[in-house]
This record gives sequence, structure tokens and C-alpha cells, in this order.
Amino acid sequence: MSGNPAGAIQAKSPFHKYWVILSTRTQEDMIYRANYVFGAVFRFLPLVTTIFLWYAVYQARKAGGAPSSIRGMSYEDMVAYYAFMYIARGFSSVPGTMSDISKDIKDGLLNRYLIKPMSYFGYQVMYRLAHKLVFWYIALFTFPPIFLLMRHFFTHLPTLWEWLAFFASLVIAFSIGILFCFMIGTLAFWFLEISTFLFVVMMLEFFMSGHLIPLNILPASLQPVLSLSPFGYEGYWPCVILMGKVPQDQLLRVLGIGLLWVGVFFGASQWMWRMGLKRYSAVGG
Amino acid sequence: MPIIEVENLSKIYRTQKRLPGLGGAVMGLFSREFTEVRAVDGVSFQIEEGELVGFLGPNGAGKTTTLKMLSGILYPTAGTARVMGFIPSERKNDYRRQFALVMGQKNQLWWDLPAQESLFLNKEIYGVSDGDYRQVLDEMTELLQVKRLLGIMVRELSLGERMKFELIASLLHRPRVLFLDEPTIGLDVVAQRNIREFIKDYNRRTKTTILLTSHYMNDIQALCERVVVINHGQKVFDGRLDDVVEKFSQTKLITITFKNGGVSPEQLSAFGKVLENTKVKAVLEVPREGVKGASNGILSRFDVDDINIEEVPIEEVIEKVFAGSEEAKV
Repeated sequence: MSGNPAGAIQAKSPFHKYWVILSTRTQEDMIYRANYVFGAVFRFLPLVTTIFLWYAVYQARKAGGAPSSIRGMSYEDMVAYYAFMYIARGFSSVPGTMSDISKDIKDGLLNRYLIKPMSYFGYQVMYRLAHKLVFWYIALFTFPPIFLLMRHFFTHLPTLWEWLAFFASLVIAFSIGILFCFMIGTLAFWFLEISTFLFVVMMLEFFMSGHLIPLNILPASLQPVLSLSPFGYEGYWPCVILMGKVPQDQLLRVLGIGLLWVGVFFGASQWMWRMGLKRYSAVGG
Repeated sequence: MPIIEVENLSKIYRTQKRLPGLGGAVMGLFSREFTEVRAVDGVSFQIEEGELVGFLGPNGAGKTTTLKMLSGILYPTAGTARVMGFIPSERKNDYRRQFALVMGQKNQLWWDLPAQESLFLNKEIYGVSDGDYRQVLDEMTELLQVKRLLGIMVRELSLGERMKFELIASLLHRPRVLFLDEPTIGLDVVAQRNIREFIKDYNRRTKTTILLTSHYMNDIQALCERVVVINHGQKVFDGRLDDVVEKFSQTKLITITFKNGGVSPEQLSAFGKVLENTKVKAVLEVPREGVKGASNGILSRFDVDDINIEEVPIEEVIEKVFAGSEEAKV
């Protein structure tokens, strides 16, 4: 038995519903646009402290007679790195995703999605994408003036290939960001209370993404791990690509590893979801 | 062929047993003991297309667990469930497009948007055509008198109004089977009546099969001819609501209004158990078979202004049913 006797069902692309989820959530998010404007402007405040901090570091090195660059990064590069980090994190960070998913699972809110003919994963991706759309809609107005003010820090003019690789790396950044959150969020299928764990994981992700310190200036012994880790794609790689720090013949390799991680995370997240759902359906909801 | 077939359905939860207090919590980190809870224990019933069946039982009886198994949210531990020929736990899209589950306490409407946006989203999720959508929406908003509220943010609606939109959202795709879990919970009397009348009318017009749980006997009495009663996960009754009264209530109530002052309890107790006795009025509980004789006796012996014979209120009977199965358990 299939189809609806009332003939109420019509054939449309199976993806159309996800498009509507995206547009509905975008509408809802737009209600909070003032909040976004506020966030988009004031998120740059910590950058001021960072600039002063690194200025002091470079001055001290100069006074001590040390080379004027740290692992190939001049003072200007360093500031540019932190500025570009705002763009990269604007794609890779999907705030609230882990905790929302774990809450849906823990409080049984998942039920209302499970009974509908749609995928919860697809729903979450669209929901978070909408957040990014609204964020960037606002950021298009607030970012340019700030970047214009900082223009003398941007010493490298990216090539066409670097621009293309940069945009590709942003897509990878978003994919890894959401997939990772989805995976960690689904841990709630097995563990009742994971907020402390979420906090630790988020700190680790934050650090390993290069948000705090550029990964290439961390100890050399860590480099093999850091350069291959998936989290670098959430911040470090987009920045250094745009700064021209990745040789052109390495661009594809870097993006390739990133895509590989997207594949691994996608597979792992779907597997965890299926296993978790089996458990959820078995023990209660 | 029945549209819902439930055969020996069981759900056993395994939960961690905790010792009381802080010490227990600390011990729980090292050794865990599990206990089994039989939420649903070998329940069987069948429902024909178009029926509106009440699903009754005290809190924790297993009603919601059963509905969850029928909706595919939970896998049964044992037994089978089939709805419209589908096995719910397979969660096929073809199945999910043909049923709806409405839970009174949980909502699917988007809080910060007008209800119409959530309704439109549901239309797309279920793949309802534009024409059908408009038709169903017009009809339902008219019937439930919420047309003018379509553009208002959900957060600004009253609980009753939200419940109405909740129902509309669940009916847009014209489900053939509808599971209603406490649809009137928390609503005021007027809103309860509105929802109740709507459900009744909807079932009559569309022949949608409805399985309804409610703690309000008014809902059940107004809507359901047939009830399935479960307690401790087991079915204790399945049949016409009227038969519940026949089967579980061996008594009737006789209310007497006196013309010139009351009668002593001793005189009254000859006819039955005295439940209430004032100067104006007395209420007696009398065995079914003795009602005729008792009323004749009362009319001939006392100065009676009015006499009224009633069934025991359904709430009390159902309470008895629950209590009866409780005793059977012990």
C-alpha cells in the first residue's frame, strides 16, 4: 500500500522540502537581525587586544635582535591571520548545534521529527545553513568597513587559484563544522548528560582550529598531527591559503585532505545516527 | 481488514536501579544494577478503518509507549504492530505520509514565526499539493475559528489556539490514521469542548481512524463508542464504553428529593448504601437488580417530590476498573 488515497501528495523534488526548511528558518533568524548586527560588529573587539599583544611580541623580538618574522609570519601577517580567522569561523562555527541536538535526543523532542517523512540530518543542515546565511547577510555590511580599516595589514594579493581554493576551503570549513557538531551531539543517545564533555570538546576544537594561535607557530613536534587534523580546516587552512602561505602546488593536496575528512565525518556521523537511533528506539524516547 | 493490528505487543525498558541518597549516587558510579520495566506487556487489539477508539489507563499504564510503537518511534521488544499494512518501526516514508501523531504537550510549531509558516513547512515536508493545501487550510481554520490568527506569531497565541494549529498542522496531509495523545491537556473548558467537537466532526466526515488517549472522561464520553483500557501494560478491557459501566459497575445511584423534610439514615439504609443524606435530598447506591424494587419501596414509603435513577459516573467506574486490575496484580 502506498500513496495517499486522498490524492493529496504531489510529486516534487525530494529536496524541495529542505529548501523550505532553509527559507523558513532564515525568516525566523531574521527576526533576530539586531542581535546579529551587534554580534557582527562587537565580535571584532578581541581583535584589538590581539593586535596589541602581537605588537608587543614583535617589538620585543626586534629589541632582542631576533628575526622579524616567526616561522615565516611577519607582524602584518599575524594580524591578517586573526582578521581572516573571523571569515573562516563565520563558516565553520555553528553555535548551539551540539547542545540542540543532544537536547532533542535527551528530552525526546526528536519524536516530532521521527514521525515526519524527512531526514533529521537534512533538517539540521538546513537549519544551521540558514543561520550562516543570515550571519553573512549582516556581515556583508559590517565586515568590509573593518577590513578596509585594516587594509595595510593585508600585504599579500591572492592569486585566482588562491581565491578559488579559499572559497573551497570555506565550504569544507562549514561541512566539517556541522558534521562534527552533529556527531558529538548524537553522543546524547548513549550518555544522558554531556554538557561538560561538550565544553571540553569545544575548547579542544577551538584550539586545534588555530583560532587561538596559528598552528604553524606551535611546537614542531606537533606539526604532523596538526597539519593533518580535521580541525585545521575550521580556521587555520582558509586563513593561510588566503595569505599565500600555501604553495600553489600544495593547494590541491590540502583541499584533498580536507575533503577526505568531510567524507570520513559524513560516514561516521551517519553511522552514529543509525546506531544511536536504534538504541533510542529500543530504550525509549 | 483492520487498519491497525496489534498482536501481543510488548515493550520492556531496562533502567538503572539507584540506591537512595548521595551514597547511592556515588555507588552508582561503580556498580550498576538494572531492573526491567514492562511498560507494555502483551497487548493485542484491532481497530477497523474509520473507528474512533479511546485508549484509557492511569499514568504509566503504557498508553504513550503503545502510541510510540505504533508511530514507529520505538521498536517493540516482542509482538507485532501493523498499521495500514506497514510495520511502523521501519519508518517508511510511505507510512509516515499517511499517519499523524499529536501530543498535547509537545509542539511542532515554530515559536517565533506566524503559524502559517509552520503550516506551509509541513505542507512541503508531506508534499501536499498547493490546491489541497489551500482547501484543507481554509476548511480547518474556518471550523476551528482561527483564520484570523494565521499571521500572528505563535508565541503570542493562547494554549488553546496553539493546540488548534497543532491539529491543523497534523491534518494537512489528510492522514488515514491519527494518534491523539492527550489533545486537550491543560486547556480550559471551552477550548476543550471546541477541540472535542472538532475531532468528532472530523472523524465523522473523513472516516479517519483515530486512537485517542485522554485523562478527561468528558473527552472519552463525547467521542468514543469503544474503549481499550490498559493498566500495568496489560489490556484489562476492550469493548463499548457503555459495557464498561455494565461490566464494572454493579450498582446504580438513586437520588431522592423529599417534599417535607428528610428521612433517617436507618430508614434509608433498608434500600441501599446511603451516600448522602440531608433534609432535602438523599443519594443511595443500590445493586442493579434491586433498583426497581427499591424505587417502588421508596416512593410508597416516603414523601417523595422527585426520584432519579442514574448510572455511577464514568470516572468512578473507570477508577474501579483501574483499581480492579490493581488488585488482580497484587
